[in-house]
Amino acid sequence: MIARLKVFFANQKIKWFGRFFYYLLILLLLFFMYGFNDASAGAYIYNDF
Amino acid sequence: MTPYGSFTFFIILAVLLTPTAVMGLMGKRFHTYNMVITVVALGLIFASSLKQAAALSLFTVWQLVIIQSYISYRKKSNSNGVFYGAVILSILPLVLSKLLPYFSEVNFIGFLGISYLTFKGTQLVMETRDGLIKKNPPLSRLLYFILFFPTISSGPIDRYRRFEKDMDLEIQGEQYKLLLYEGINKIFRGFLYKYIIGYSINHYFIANLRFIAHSHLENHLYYMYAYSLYLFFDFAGYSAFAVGVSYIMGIKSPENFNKPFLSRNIKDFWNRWHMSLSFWFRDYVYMRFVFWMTKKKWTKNRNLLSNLGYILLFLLMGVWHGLEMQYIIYGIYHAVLMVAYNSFEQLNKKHKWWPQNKWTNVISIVITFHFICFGFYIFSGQLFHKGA
Repeated sequence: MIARLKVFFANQKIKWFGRFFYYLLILLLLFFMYGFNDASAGAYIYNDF
Repeated sequence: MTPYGSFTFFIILAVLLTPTAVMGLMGKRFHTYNMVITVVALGLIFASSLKQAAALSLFTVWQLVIIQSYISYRKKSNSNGVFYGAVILSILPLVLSKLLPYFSEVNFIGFLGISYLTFKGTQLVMETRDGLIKKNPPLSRLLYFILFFPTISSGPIDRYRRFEKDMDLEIQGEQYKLLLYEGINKIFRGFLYKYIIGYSINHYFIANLRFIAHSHLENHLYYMYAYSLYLFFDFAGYSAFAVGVSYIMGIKSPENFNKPFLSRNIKDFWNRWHMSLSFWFRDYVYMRFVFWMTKKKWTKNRNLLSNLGYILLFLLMGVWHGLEMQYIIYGIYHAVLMVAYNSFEQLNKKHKWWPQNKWTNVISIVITFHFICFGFYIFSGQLFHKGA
């Protein structure tokens, strides 16, 4: 079972679709959270040091 | 404008980096163009504060004079006094910028990224002393290394000799395609960490803790774990942006994080968390201290030497964060953890109390995670303030 899953996820097309949906999900989440505003997610903690 | 602090910054970055990507894909050299966009990006970052821009300019000249003079001197001679003098002068602006706020309301020395630029400058002096840098680097290259804009505000701290190798590399179109792809992937990870996960933890959980927690203890416990995760996603998000943009510019800046919450012990943690800083302290503080102590023959006990080195390293690292109580205690806390673990490791080698297997590894990760989170709780300052 694990070997079959490994073969499945090693497929280039699956990898490409995986990446595509990963990027799309991030873009959609950014859009839902911030809309078209030039929002900031707050200052970076380590910029203070 | 804060680097990676708003969507506008990313839009400007995309415009500036498009010619870089096109040239890279065509297999053409792009470092001269990248130097030009570094000047433009620095202009944008420091445009809102002329005071900081002036401090950055003066600081850069200061570091350049020290580095170039020391390299020229080192070709002829190798006195301890001159070396220590060069190191002290190199870190002097950083020390003053940390101390000045306690004596004056106006900090005319500090600017965004002063720590990270200092680490780079001091590193050049140290490596020159070790004979690893023998020639005066071209001024443009030295300036590009020190002021490399993707990593200017909070690192990662690159090494000059590694940076130089990337600069000299002839990147073919196909090779650049992989770099570009990795760079874009890291930038997306940065958005996921900083803008989605980090923001959600801070905005929806930490900010509403007083409504979520039912008791004072619960409040502090939730804060401890939430702040630890927030700090990670905030800083790892920034680092992903910085490393991703560096890749697009053909420079493989070092990584700062490697799954730190999966560390099996505190030593492992410092090989995974803020790696470029901990490796800097390891190479230029710990190793030098141990070497110096060994040379002076003050003690032959290797374990004691190692523990003294850790104490020095973590106290300095704590103080570097600031002179506030939480940072000093944070440094002491990690020094104690490191010494305790080091002693345990030595004893365990003899007595085999804690075997290495799948189960003990999982238990070690869980225990280490809680110790780390308590460290971040100290770091957050909540322990010293009323309420979370």
